[in-house]
Amino acid sequence: MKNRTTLVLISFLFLSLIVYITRETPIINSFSGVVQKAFYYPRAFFYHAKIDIQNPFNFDRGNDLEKIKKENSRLLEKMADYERLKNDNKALRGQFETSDFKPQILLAANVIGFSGKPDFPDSLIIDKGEEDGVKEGAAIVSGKNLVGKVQKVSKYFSKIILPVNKNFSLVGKTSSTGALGVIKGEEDFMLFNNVLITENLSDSDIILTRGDVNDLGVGIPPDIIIGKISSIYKQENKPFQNAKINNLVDYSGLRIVFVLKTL
Amino acid sequence: MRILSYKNVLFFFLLVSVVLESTLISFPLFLILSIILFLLDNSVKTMFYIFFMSLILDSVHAERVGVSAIFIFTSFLLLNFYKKGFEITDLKAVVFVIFISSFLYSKVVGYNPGFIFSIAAVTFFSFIFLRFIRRKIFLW
Repeated sequence: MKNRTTLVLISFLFLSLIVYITRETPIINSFSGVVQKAFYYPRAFFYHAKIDIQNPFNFDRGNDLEKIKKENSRLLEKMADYERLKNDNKALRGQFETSDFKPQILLAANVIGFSGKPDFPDSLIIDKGEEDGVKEGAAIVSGKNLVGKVQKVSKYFSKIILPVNKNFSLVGKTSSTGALGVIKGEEDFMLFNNVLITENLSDSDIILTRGDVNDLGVGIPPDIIIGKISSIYKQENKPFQNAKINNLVDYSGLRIVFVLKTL
Repeated sequence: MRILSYKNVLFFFLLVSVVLESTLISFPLFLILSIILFLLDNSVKTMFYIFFMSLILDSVHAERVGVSAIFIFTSFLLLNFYKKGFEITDLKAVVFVIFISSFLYSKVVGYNPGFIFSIAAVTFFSFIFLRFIRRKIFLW
């Protein structure tokens, strides 16, 4: 009897390994697709109910405060635009720049799930996948802000890793001076790491993406807003400085995001 | 056959945990409930049910299909070998396997590692629950 149980368990483990190895095959993909279609509405219902329930109890999100936050976000976007135009102008005066980036289109996607803390998620699930042309590494935006990048793609759903996730890493730059650094997630905030000590960072600097697009045109385009510096850690005897970045997007309240898809 | 037996209630909770884990909570609830269900009933039917539900969980979670099943059946095998080796079902060993497998699963699937306290809390409640149904486990 005991040997039989062991045998059955080993058989199931073996079966699981076969499923895992053959997960990209049409049979498993079709099964996954059917399940995802079937669970779409319950998932969307629960996720939106969570957002609706969360908001009334969150006193920080009063109407006035919400308006100010939106206004602030709009002004920061304008500031980032201004800085970008200023830098572009400077560059264009010297010579015309050519861009290797392929044109991209926006694909609207509904957020239907998350992982991490309910009020501070570190990844999201969207209702667009392989069938819609979503590729791993593609940028996800909301307005002019970076929401994250596609980590895993399945038939109809995709998993988005947010910049606050510990596994997130991306090269970024400041909007004012273009100082480069590595953005790393730290669960509740982001860290702008490995910035040369000679670079000037200021408290109100906006951090933008530097651009990380592969030859197929998939990736994070330049000049998308990641966040705003809130504090700077600098020691003169060290070669690098770093800064804490606060995100400008409320990840827990997102319902619709946009996938940057190559044409 | 009693409809409200421990087994049937756990079967129901297992189904609910798939929906909850893929929408509202970021926590290996399905894995923990599967281990408890396995301790109560290690029939092929139960194992197939757990296997099938784990594939659904992975699909809904946009996760690599089969990853949950590998974790779950490895945990079952560990418990089974422990029981065969020592001829006892020690609750401490069960709780240890629940804790370790939940922790590793959370790391692999990408649940927040800060949830270690939640895992510890649920492991504690599993311990209480398993003590409560201890007699049933010894029948295994």
